[in-house]
Amino acid sequence: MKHKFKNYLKLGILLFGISITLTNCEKDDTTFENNTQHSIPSDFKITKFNSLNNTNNSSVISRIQGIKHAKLNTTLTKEVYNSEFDFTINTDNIKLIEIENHQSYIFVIERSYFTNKTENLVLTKQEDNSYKTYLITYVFTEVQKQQIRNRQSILGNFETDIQELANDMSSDLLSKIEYNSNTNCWVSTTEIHTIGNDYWEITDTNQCQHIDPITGLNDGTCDVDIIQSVFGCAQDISGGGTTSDSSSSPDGSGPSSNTGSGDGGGLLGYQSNSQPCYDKKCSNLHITPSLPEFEETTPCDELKKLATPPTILPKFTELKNHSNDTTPYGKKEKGFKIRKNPTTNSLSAGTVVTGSNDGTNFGVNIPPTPYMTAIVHTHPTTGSIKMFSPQDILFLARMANVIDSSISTTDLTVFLIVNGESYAIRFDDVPTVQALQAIYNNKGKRERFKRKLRQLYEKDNNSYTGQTSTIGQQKQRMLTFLNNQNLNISMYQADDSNGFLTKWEKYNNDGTKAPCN
Amino acid sequence: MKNLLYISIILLSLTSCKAQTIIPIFSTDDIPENPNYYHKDVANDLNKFEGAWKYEDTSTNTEFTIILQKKLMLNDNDGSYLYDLLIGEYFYKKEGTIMMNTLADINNTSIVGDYHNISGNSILHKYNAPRCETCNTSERRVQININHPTETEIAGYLTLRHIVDNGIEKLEAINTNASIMGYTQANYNQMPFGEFVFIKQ
Repeated sequence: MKHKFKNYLKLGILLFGISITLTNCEKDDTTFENNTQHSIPSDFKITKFNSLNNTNNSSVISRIQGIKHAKLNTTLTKEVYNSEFDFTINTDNIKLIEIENHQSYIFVIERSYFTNKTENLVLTKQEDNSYKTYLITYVFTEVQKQQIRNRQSILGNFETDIQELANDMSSDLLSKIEYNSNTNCWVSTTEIHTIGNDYWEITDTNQCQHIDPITGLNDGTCDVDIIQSVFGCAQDISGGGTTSDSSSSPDGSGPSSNTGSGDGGGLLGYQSNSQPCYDKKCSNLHITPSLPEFEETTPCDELKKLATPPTILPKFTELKNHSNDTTPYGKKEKGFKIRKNPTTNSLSAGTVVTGSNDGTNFGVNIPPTPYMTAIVHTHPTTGSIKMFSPQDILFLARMANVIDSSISTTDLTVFLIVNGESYAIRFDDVPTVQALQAIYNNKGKRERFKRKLRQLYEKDNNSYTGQTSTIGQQKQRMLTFLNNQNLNISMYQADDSNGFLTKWEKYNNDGTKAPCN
Repeated sequence: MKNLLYISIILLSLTSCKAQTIIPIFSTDDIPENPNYYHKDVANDLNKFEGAWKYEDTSTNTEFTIILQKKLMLNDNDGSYLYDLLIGEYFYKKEGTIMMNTLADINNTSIVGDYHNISGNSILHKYNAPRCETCNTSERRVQININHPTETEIAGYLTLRHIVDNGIEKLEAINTNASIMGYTQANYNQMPFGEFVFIKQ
């Protein structure tokens, strides 16, 4: 009996030990990795030039400068203006794309009028070392534009039109390549004129007519052959690759080179080798969308664009003046919304509203709307929260929840004016938009988020002297908090030394800041 | 030999376990989102706020009642730290009209932690906002969130100071706006914002 009891005791100790092992120990860490790899072609290279001469390619230089009817724009000396096509070729921002032995130079085309199209002039090197010229037109949504800015694959459909331009850039279109959505192929329609350039009308692929330049009538001749061929099929668009930057050295003595690698290559459209290719020409055309707004727009540029239109800037001025008001009236917040017209992309400001200040509520209440791209508001200098409140940060997610798909969530901005200083916060990337939305949409997480940041702001209030935390201390608390939360939300501050809201600086996590426009 | 085995298992069980880092709730340090951290009410600051508390103004037929309970070692099963928390529900009658009554949810076991209409554990000293000029420097108040039950973006920071007045336990309270912009004004007007003195029931 005693022996049996001993065995039970031993078994009990063993089970107790095992149960302790199972219940008290630390959980295994689970790591979730976001796979951000793109399906990208790895063998392409993009080189950027900021002037035509820096390309060191005499064929390209003469091709651009020799465009028929072209003239150098005297006010914009780095641009070539083509009066006949009514566009300007920007030579500040040239890309050279090289894939295997193929080369394409991409130029940004600018119009003197508003267009929602992205237009590029592309010079593509041929086997005989000559260049063909294409006019490439894209129509992207704002979301797709942001995907390009973020070097992400473009999701969804977008319109593309490719026209091959005549070597002499006459008004006649020698070749046009159109995408046929039924066959998923590009069809090249080439016109071969046997008479000099005149006024031609193509009525359909089988008929044409020649208008006599003197009589203005159809003279019955048909001196054009039209050839159709499949140019290529199943375009693959992706981002990635290697980027080199080649630009003038600061003293202007010549080009300098800066080569990097990784995800800097941007969007690339090309004919995949794995796809049917009925015409060798298809492997010669390599394109990537290029526009000043894609390549040169920084968040600081965007902040300037939002703040400085003539209809909006006076409202910023009104709020700035209010933020310096130390009277009880100054305790009330003021604010207004900035709306983006989905058709014209023009910006407009809403009415300036004022908070109530009933002793417990000083804030403004501006509801988010589908086309609201930014909100501007003040905080009183004497208030306990001088920097962005937890609610201000969460409002970014609230805007993202209701915004129209034509507006990119990473364009959403919350401006704050306090003590005459202008600040802004914006998402750096789409995953952070989703991460903040996840916090906002979960009440438990949202409450903890609000509680933690508020506690941090209160941390610097001295419990013995009564000294309250400063704007600088709260700034640093917020930056550290966002960093600890793994939220890529950047803060910016306007540098008004050379004009109100024209220059903006971005904060680093350590509280230092650097100009970004 | 067997004894040695058993002792080894027990020692192994004890030594392989990682200690939990306790951060007092009166500390305002940023706590890592990690279940090995415990935001603990080490000084039992929350205890004196537990119970049912009632504000009543018979001249305006206004009543504001809160029930608060302290919960230990909560987490959201999302990899966050553990925390002690005051949770609660409330009843609000304004000038004879019942604006809010969530008291029944205090015992609803499906509602946990911050999902209650009142929750929080922020410890405030004399000079934290809202300032308490009559507090002494060692006194600790608590600040909790009070939410609108259906439009949870509407919220207040309910700051509570515990006092004993002629042997009666009271809470001096101020509820200030903590809403996220875009709220419905009609729902906002249902909330008990302002200053109150609660008496323990």
